[in-house]
Amino acid sequence: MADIKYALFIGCLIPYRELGYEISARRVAKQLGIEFVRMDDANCCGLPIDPVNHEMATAMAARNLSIAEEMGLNIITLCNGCFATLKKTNEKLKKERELREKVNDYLKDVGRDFKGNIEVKHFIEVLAEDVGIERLSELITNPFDDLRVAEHYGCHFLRPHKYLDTENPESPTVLTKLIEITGATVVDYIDESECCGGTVIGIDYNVPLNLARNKLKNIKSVGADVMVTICPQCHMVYDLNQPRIEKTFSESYDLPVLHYPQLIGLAMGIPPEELALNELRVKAEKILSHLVKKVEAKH
Amino acid sequence: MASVLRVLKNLAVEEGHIPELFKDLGATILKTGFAYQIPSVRNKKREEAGLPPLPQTKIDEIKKLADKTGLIKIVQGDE
Repeated sequence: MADIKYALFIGCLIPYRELGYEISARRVAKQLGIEFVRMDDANCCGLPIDPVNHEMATAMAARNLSIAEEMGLNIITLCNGCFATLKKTNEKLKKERELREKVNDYLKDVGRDFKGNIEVKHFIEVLAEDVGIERLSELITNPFDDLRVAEHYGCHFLRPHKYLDTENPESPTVLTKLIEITGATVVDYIDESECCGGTVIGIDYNVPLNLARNKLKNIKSVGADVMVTICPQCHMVYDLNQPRIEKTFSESYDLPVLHYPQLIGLAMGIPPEELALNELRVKAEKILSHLVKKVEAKH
Repeated sequence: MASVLRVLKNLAVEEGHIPELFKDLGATILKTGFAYQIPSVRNKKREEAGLPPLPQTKIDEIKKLADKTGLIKIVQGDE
C-alpha cells in the first residue's frame, strides 16, 4: 500500500460539529496507508477572521504553514475553507516578496519564519493524485450498482482559481471521478455550483436557509438517493440544518448527505459503524440497505 | 470581486462597524487560537472515538500576532 505522510490540519469546524467527517477520513486513510501527523501547535486557519482583519488572517495562516515547514511535511486538509485559506496564503507568500517580508516580520516576533517549501492539499486531491484513481478503483470490493449521487464540491475547493489551481471551477471532475469509481451514478442537477451560504450563517440565517432549500429541491427533482460533500461547512448546512429547512418551509426532503470518505469507505468494504454513519442527522438507511442486499446476495 | 468585498468589510470594521458575531469570534481566537471553543463533551466524544487530542495553540503567540495586526484593538475596542 502507498506510503503517504501528511501534516493534518484539522481546523475548527470539524472538531466542533462534524466529527463523523474526521472519523471516516481517518479510517479510509488508514486503509490506504495515508499517515496523518498531528500539528501540535496549530491555530485556526484564519478564514473566519478575514472579513474583520485580513492581516491577522494572513498571519494566522502563515503561522500554520511555518509549523508544517518545521515538521518537514506537506499539509492535508479535510475542510474546503481551511484548504483555500492555507493554499492561497502559501501561494501568495511564495510569489509576493513584499507580502512575505511583511508577514515574516510578524512571525519573527513569535520565533517563526515562512520559508515556502511545502504544499497544501485537500483530502480528495491526495486520494486522486497520491493514491490514484486507478489504484482506488482496484480497492472497491462492494460497489454500488443502483445508487444515484448528487455531488457538491463547495466554493472553497475551487475558488479563487488563480491561487488554488485545482480545476476549472465551472466544470470540475475530480469528485465526480471519485464517486463514479464506487459504482454509483453521479446525477446532474440545476445550479450545482451554487454556494451553500454557510459563510454568512451568523449574519443572516435566511440566506443559507433559502440557498440550501433550493439545492435540496433541485437534487430531489432529479431523483438522487444521496448527496455527497467534501467540506464540513457545506455538510452542516445540508445535513444538520435539513430538519430546520423542512420545518421552516413545511416540506420533506429526507436526503442523506454523506461525507465523501463515508461513501468510498462503504464501497471499500469498511463496516458502516467504523465510518460514523450514525453521526449523520439525516440517516442513510437507503445506502445501507444497498450494502446489506449485496452482502446477502454474496452468501 | 471577493477581494474587493473583503477590503470593504475590513474598512468598515476600521470605522467601527463590526457585527457582534465577529467580535465574539475574535475573542474566542484570542482565548483558544481557534474560532470555536470545543465543549468538553466533544473532547470526550473524540476520546471515545479513538481520535487524538486536538492541537493546543501557544496562545501567547496568537496574542502577539493579534497585537501587531490590530485584532486585539478591534476585539477589545478602545477601552
